[in-house]
Amino acid sequence: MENGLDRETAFMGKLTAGATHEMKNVLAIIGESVGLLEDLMGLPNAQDFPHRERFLKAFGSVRDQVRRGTGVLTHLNRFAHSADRETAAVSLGDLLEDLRVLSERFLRRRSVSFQVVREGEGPVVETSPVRLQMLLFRVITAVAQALPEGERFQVRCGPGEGGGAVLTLSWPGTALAPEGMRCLEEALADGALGDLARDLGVSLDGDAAGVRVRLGTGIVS
Amino acid sequence: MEGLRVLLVDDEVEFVSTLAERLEIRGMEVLVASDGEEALRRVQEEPLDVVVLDVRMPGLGGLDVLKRIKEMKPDLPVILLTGHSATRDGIEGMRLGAFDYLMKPLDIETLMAKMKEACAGR
Repeated sequence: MENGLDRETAFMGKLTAGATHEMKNVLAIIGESVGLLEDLMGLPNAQDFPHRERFLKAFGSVRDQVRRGTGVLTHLNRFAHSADRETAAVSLGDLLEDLRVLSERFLRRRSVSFQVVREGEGPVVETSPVRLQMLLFRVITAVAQALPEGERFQVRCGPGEGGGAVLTLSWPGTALAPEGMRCLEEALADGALGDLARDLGVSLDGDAAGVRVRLGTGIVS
Repeated sequence: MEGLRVLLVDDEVEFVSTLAERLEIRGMEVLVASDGEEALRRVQEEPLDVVVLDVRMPGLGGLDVLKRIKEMKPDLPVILLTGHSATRDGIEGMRLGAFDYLMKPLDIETLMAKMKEACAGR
């Protein structure tokens, strides 16, 4: 064990965090290089450069991809650093934003996506960041699996009544089918996640308006 | 901004040389250093208007270089470049006297505006 986390998790986190720094430097070099080419193409004596417009369009595309890659790396870095400590104060809004970006690829298979809405600053939870991410990833992918293809849903996080926090997953269509709700409950009862769900006092309920995940204990503010 | 003397400090040689070229196209005079020791020598020897300094460098780190620059030339503005942990390093840097911090990858126009702002008060 290392800082209470298993050594494998800490090891994966440490190397991933280091690699994100390296990759961000790589993107910075690509970004500056394409920026330089754009600068040169903008000089007065380059106005007749053959295929100038096509070059400029391609440079713009490179720049967009650098921005996209940087965004993913920023979230991946924070995700990797979540393995630094066994417990930490975690902003639910930040954590959900990380999950939104990092789960995009999994959700894209069904053309499902979601947006995060924070009520105010959003609640903060004192817990194991890694296990909470696993738990919420499981919730999000289970909901995404149960929804019709192409659906777009919303995850709203805010304080719960009398303390705690509530995540509300909602979508414009019909209520989650009973088997979808059952899959979700089963996902949260599974092994270590089940233990964490119990530690955090997680409860679920669903109706036509969506699914609510209540986090009870462990809330620090 | 033309004629401004800038020192760029970053161990990523390709990054710093490309950025230098872009600033030169915009009329600045740019010096580069690829580590903290070289940066301190440049600060000691050269007249400079602003320093752009990467926080994460092997050997003498950016925040240590910043402290030494502030001892040598307290009025020389320093803009920090940070990676992911922007808030923590950036705020610590500003506590140590940095003018401001920017995240990599950079937007050149944002950097230009920040340098202009930093030099305006001199």
